[in-house]
Amino acid sequence: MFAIRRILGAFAVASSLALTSSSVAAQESSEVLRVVATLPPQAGLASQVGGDAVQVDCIARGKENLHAVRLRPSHMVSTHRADLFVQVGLALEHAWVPGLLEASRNSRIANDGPLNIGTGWPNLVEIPLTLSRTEGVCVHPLGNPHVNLCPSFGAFAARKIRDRLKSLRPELSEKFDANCAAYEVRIAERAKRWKRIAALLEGKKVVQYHKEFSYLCIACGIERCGALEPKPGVPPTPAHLAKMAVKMRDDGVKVVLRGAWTPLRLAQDAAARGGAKAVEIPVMTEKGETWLDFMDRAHETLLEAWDLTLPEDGLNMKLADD
Amino acid sequence: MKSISNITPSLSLLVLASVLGAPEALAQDSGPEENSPVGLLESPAMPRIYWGQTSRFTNSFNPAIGMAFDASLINMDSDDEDGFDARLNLAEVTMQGPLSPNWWGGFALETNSEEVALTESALYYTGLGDRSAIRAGKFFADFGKQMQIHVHDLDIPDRPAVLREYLGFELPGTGIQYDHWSPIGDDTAFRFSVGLFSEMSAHDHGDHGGHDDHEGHDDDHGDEHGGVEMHMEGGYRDLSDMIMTARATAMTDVGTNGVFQIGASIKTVPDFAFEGEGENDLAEEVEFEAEGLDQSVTGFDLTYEWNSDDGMSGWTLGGEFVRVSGDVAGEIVNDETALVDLEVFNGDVQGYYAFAQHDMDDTNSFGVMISTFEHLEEEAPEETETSIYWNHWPTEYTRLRLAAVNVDSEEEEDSQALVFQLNGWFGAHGHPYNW
Repeated sequence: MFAIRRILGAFAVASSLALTSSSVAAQESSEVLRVVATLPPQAGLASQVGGDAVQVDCIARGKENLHAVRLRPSHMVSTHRADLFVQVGLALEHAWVPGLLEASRNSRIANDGPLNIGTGWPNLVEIPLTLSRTEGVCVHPLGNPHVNLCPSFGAFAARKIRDRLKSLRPELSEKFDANCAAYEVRIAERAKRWKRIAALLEGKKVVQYHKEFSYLCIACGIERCGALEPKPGVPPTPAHLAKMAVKMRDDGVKVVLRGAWTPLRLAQDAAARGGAKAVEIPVMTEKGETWLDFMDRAHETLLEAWDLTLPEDGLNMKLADD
Repeated sequence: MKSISNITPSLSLLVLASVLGAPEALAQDSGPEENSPVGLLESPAMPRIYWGQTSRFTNSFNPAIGMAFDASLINMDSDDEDGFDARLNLAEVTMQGPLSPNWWGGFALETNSEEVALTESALYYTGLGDRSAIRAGKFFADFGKQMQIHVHDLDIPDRPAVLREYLGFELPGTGIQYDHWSPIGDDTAFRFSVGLFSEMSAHDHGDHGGHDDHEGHDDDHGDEHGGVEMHMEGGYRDLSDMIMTARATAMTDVGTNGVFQIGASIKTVPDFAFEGEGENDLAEEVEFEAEGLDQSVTGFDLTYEWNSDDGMSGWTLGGEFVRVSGDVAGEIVNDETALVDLEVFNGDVQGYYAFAQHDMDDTNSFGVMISTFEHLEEEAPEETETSIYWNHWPTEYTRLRLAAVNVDSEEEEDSQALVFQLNGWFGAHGHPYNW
């Protein structure tokens, strides 16, 4: 009899907690669309397109490895409450987003699916010829997923976010259209400067630590001469680093590009052996930084890597990004 | 105008089809070739010969398949035994996949090359509404922070000794469990679960240098300690006699880089027996059994994790206090008249584990773990197991581990072991969020 009371008591407590939390959940809905973005740049784009109709939360921090973001309880809470979940997709976040979506149990996201803003990107590169772990740990069947570092990806992603927001709030379609169009104009203005920077960088040669800057390099006309990782996601081995040192000297590579998450000392030593220097390129926006600022910083860092400066003229000034 | 006699047969067919719940029958009227649903072709009283949207010869909609490998080379140094031993701790095959938007399921089949065991086979239903789920079948009981996943997936070298003693290396149970989580504010998640089980057997992989009383797979629904086995009768029983587990836990952000978790767990076994064999004064084997016993295990756990801004390094501190109450042990005893009997020890024993781990980067971590507990015996002799370990991940799917284990026991000989462990994961391998 004691055991029966114990079991019934446990169920009573469980049921009351469930009812309480259900009523809390019912109060959670609001008019403002809750958007959760996996990466800060995408969060910034969603804010620009959504304006005051959206409240945007972001999961990754500016210096984290995009493939291995550390999840915290607040991420589960925000994802559960979200009306829209935005990720790059293309298997960029596949190590941590599926588990987050499963644990957060958001039926709206489960039904509609996350918004994969990378899907349909027409210029995918480094598509693996064979799908095998012998080709690396970070094998992405659809191609290199780091499209978020391409300067022309901003407008592409903004339009995708606009379309999904319109489907969620049709009555605000005009507002989202206007916000997106205005943002595309600002992107186009900044892109003029990025193209002038790219003209200076054209023909330069780099080695990447991890192939996350391929799209940025392509946009700037920079030649990619390999990676310190022997295969995507596999830490550098001594033999491969020795091989890359020879290759860097033979090819005249002066810069090794690395993200903040990669080991600084290893990248510096490997670059020095090849007669180059390691340069940290931002992979995500920092706090308070817009996507346009972020792209500015990425381009300027590339200029500094070769001690280049953009000739002064009207386009050398940053445009206000209000 | 149609006569009633012309309408009635059609109406009868319509009503019959509706009563039988067969809209497909109606659909076939308008075109059996193009609308014939896959999955309903059957002969009377026989199973369907096709299920779902596939034939039995296509591999569409198959579950994800994964394999795991766990092997160790151990150098043991104790008064009881010395030397090297190479062990295949585990080879595991798993399959997981959705059955529908609200159902998913999977199983795990394990072997240590001597025995094969089905450690998990369960279906999960998530259609109750947001944040609630039900699982049914055989799955790991929801007790504490470290018992929810397989040993080979733990960051620490082994299941903490106190958990091995009181709950087993792994704790799969057959039953049903309800769980629900709720946000509290913006930074905290609270979750509870309640489970009912008809059986729950400690599952063994073999330890890494510690003392081990759990010998092999226990197919008899019980745990064995000192020749006396904890036994639950199979078959039907009252609801009140089923094993119950419950866990409540909350985890919250601490600043931008930390997570703190607190949890409490309970497992009650309301009706079980101790069984054992002893030799009487005539040198005859005599079987003993003590029935109608009950036992409960309670746990209280704390975990704190802190990571660097780039997420590549950090610290994890954790610990759990565990207490067993009720009929905790049975022992075959010889009294002064040389008659043997099975005595049951009713009381409390307790223990704890604590660990600290430092993630140096994304491929290396080291840590130390200490676990102290009182044995499930009347005298409750104490044992302390201390491990220091280093994990190296050459890739995301392979792990090398070097661990040194020291066991200080009041009851048995002290021992030291050096363990080199190799793990590999093939294909899809995943776990639910570890609450």
